[in-house]
Amino acid sequence: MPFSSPIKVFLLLLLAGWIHPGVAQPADRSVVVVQSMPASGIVLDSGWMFHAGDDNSWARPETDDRHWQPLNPTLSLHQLPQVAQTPIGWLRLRFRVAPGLQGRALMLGIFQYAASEIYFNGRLLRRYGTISPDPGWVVPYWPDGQPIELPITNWEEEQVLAVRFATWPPFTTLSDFFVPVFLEAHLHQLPQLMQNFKQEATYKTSDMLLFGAFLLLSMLHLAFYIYNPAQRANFYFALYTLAEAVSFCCTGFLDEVHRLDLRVAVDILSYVFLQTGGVLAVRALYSLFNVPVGPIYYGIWVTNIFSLLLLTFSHSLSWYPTVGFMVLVTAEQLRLTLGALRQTKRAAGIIATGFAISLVLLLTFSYMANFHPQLLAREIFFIPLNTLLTFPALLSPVLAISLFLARRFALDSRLLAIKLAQVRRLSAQTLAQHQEKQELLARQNETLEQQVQQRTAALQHTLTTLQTAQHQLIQSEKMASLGELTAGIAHEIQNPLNFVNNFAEVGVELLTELRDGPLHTLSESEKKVADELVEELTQNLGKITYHGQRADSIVKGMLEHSRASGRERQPTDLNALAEEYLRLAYHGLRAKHKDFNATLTIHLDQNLGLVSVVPQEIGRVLLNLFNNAFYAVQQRQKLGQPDYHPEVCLTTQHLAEGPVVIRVRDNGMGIPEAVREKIFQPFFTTKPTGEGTGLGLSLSYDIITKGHKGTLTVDTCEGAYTEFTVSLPMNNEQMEAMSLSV
Amino acid sequence: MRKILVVDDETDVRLLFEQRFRREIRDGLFAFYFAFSGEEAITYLEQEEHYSEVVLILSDINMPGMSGLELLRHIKRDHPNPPPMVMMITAYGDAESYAKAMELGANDFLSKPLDFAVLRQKLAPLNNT
Repeated sequence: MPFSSPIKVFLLLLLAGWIHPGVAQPADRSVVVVQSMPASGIVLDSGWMFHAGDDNSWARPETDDRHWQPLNPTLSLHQLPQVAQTPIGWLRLRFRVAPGLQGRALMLGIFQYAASEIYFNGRLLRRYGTISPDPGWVVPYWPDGQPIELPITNWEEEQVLAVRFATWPPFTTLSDFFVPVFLEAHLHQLPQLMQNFKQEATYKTSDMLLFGAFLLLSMLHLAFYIYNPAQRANFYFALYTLAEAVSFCCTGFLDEVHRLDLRVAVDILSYVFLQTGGVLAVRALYSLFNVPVGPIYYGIWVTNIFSLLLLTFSHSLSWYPTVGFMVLVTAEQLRLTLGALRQTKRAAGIIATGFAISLVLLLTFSYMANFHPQLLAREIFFIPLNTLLTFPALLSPVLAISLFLARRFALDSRLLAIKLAQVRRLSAQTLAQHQEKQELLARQNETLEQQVQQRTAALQHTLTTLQTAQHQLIQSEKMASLGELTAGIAHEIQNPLNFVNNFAEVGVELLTELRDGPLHTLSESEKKVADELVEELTQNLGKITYHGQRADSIVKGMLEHSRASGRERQPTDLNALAEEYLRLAYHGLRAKHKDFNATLTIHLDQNLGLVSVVPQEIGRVLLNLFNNAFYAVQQRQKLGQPDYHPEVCLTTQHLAEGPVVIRVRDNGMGIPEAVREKIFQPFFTTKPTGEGTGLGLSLSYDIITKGHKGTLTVDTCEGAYTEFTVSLPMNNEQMEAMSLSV
Repeated sequence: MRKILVVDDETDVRLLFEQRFRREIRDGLFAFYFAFSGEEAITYLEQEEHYSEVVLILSDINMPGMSGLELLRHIKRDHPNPPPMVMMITAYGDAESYAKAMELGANDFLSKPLDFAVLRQKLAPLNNT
C-alpha cells in the first residue's frame, strides 16, 4: 500500500518497489480465479472490463461484457487515457473463488481517486462520493479500503463485481505520485484484515508519536528562542521541527480524510512541510555552527521549490524529486557537520553521532527491506521491527540537534551563572573599593579643610605680623631719620648755645666787676641809678643763662638718641628694676604734689629670670613710662570725676618661648586718636611748655627698638586707659651672652 | 709767657676766651693766640719761635677744611719732641671721636658747651711750670 504508507520519509530513501502485494494469478482472460490468499491480501488488477457511458443494467451479473474493453484500473489516470476522458463509466470483474478458500468470509476493500458505486452480483453494496454526468458536480471520495463483506451465496458460481464511477478532472493534472491509481480493489480474509489494521494502527501511532515529539521539540526550542533571541539556531530548529511535526500530522491523518480533494491537498502539504523542514534544518545547522549563509543555502531553497513542483505535477518522475532533494539536504547537513567537526566546534560530535545512528539504522532497514523483508514484519514486544528501526532513525538527528542546542543552552547558562557570580563578586569589590575611596576622599577632604584653615589662620597671623612689622618699620624709619635729624640739629644748636651761655655768664661776671670797680667812683645818686641798671642787666643775663641751660638740656636729651647704643648689656632682674623705678616715679611726683595719691598694682612674673639689657637705659624708659602714667592719672584726677581712683599698674610676664613683656597701664586720660601716631616722635608733648621736652617717648622708643631689638607699643582708649607694652626678645644668643657675662 | 693756641672756626671764640680769661691775660699768666682753621694753626706753628712758645693747643674737631683730628695728627707727627699738650674740644661728645682723638695722642678731651670753670682747673697746672 504505497499510497497509504504512514512513514514516507524512509520509503523515499529506499529503493522503490519492494512492496509488491501478492497478486492473484489470472487464469482466464475473462474470469479471474482467486486461488490463494497471501498475507497481504489480493489486489484485483486483472480481468476488469471497461465501458464508457452509463446504464444501470450493467450492474447485473448476466450483462454481457465480453465486447467491453479490458483494463487494469490500478494504473494511474495517465496510463488510462480512455478512463480519464470519460466523465462517467462502468467497470466489471468476473471471478471465481478456488475451492480452498470457499466458505470463509471474503472482504472487499476499495481505494480510488474517483466517485463510485460498488455493485456485487447486481446488488449495490456501497456508494462512495457523488456521481454525476456533469464533472462539476462530481464529489470524489476516499473509502480507504473500508472492508465490505462480499455476500456470496453460491460459492461455485461466477461472481460479478461492477463499479459505476465518475472521474474528477483535476486529478489528471496531478502527478502519478499523488494520484498513483484510478481504482484498486483488494480482497482479504479476516486474519489479513486484522493484520493490516494492526499495522496501520502501528504506523499511525508512530506518526502521532513523531508528530508529538517534533511538536514538543518545536515548542521547547521556540521557548528557548523567546527567552534568548540571540541564539537564532533555536528559532530555525523550532521552525524545522514544527514543519516536520506538521508533515507527520498531515501524513498521520491522511487516511481519516475521506474527501479526496482535501486528502490530496493534505498529502501535497505533508511533502511541502517535509522538504521545507529539511531546508530549515540546514539553516539551523548554519546558525548552530556559525557558518555564514551562502549560495548553497539559497540554491537549496530554489531546489526545494523546483523539486516540489516536479513532485506535484510531473507524470513520470514518481517520488524521485523528493528523494533527490532529501539526499541533497542530507549531504549539506553532513557537509556542515563534518566541517564543524574539522574545526572542532564544541560538541559537533553529538550531531554527527545523531546522523551516524540514523544512517546505520536506515542502511540496516534498507538491507533488510531488500534482502530479508520477512524480518521486518517480525515483532519485538509487539512492535514491528521496521518501526523499531525507522522511528529512532528519524528521531536521532533531530534529538541530536536538540540535545546539542540544549547542551549549549545549559553550558551557556552555567557559564553565565559563573560569569554572574564573578560579576557580582567584582561589583561587590568595586562597590567596596568605591566606598573605601569615598571614605578616603572624605577623610582627605576633611584633612585638607583643616590644613587650609590652619594655613589660612597662619597666613592671617603672618599677615597681621607683617602689617605690624611694616608699621613698626615705617615707624622706626621715621624715628631713625628724625633721630639723625635731631642729632644734627642738636649739634648745630650746641655751638651757638655755647656762646649764649658763656657770654651770659661772662656778662654777669663783667657786670659784677663793673659794679665793684668803676661804679664806686660815681656819685651817690648816679651810683644808685647805675646799680639799678646793672641789677636789671644781671637779672636779664641770669634769664638768658637759665633759658640757655634749658635749651642745653633739650639738646643733651636729643643727643642721648645718638648715644642710645653705647652702653654695655648685663643680666638684669627686670622685676626689681621696674618696681624700683615705679616707686621712684611715684615718690618723685608725691614730693612735688603732696596731695596726690594713686593705687599701685604690681603683677610680677617670678619666672622672669635675668634678662640681658642695659639697665640704665631700660630704667630710663620705665621712668619715662611711669612718669607719663602718673601724669595722666593726675590730669584725670584734676577733672574731679566722682568715684575716680587713680591707678597705675605694672605687669611683667615671660611669654612661653617668647619675649619678656613689661606692661605699664594707667586709668588716666587716654590718648586722643589724633595724636596717637605722633607720641613717639621727638619734641611731641602734650604737657605745658617747660614741663616736658617731648623727647621721653621718642628716646624710649629708640632704646627699646634700636638698642634692644624689642618693641614698644601703645594701647589706649580716650578717657579710660593707656597701656604701654615693652617687649624684649629673649633669644638663645642673648641667653648665651648673659651666661658669659655672669 | 705761656702761649695757648686756640683753633676754632667760630671767630667769637676769641672774644669769649679773652673775656673769660681776662684776669689771667691781664695778670700775664697766659697769652692766647687764635687760629680759625687747621691750616692757619699749622702755618702759625711752623714758625719756630711760635712753636716753642705754645704750651697748649685747644682745638675744635669739626672745622671746614682740615679737621681738628687731622691737625692733631699733623702736630704729633711733625713735632714729636717736645710735643705741646693738645686738648680737643668738640660738640660731638661721641665715643668714636673721643677714641680717635686719644689714639692720635690728644692729652685731653672737652665737650661743648665749654665749662670754663673746668677748663680753668685743667689749665691751672700750667701756671706752676
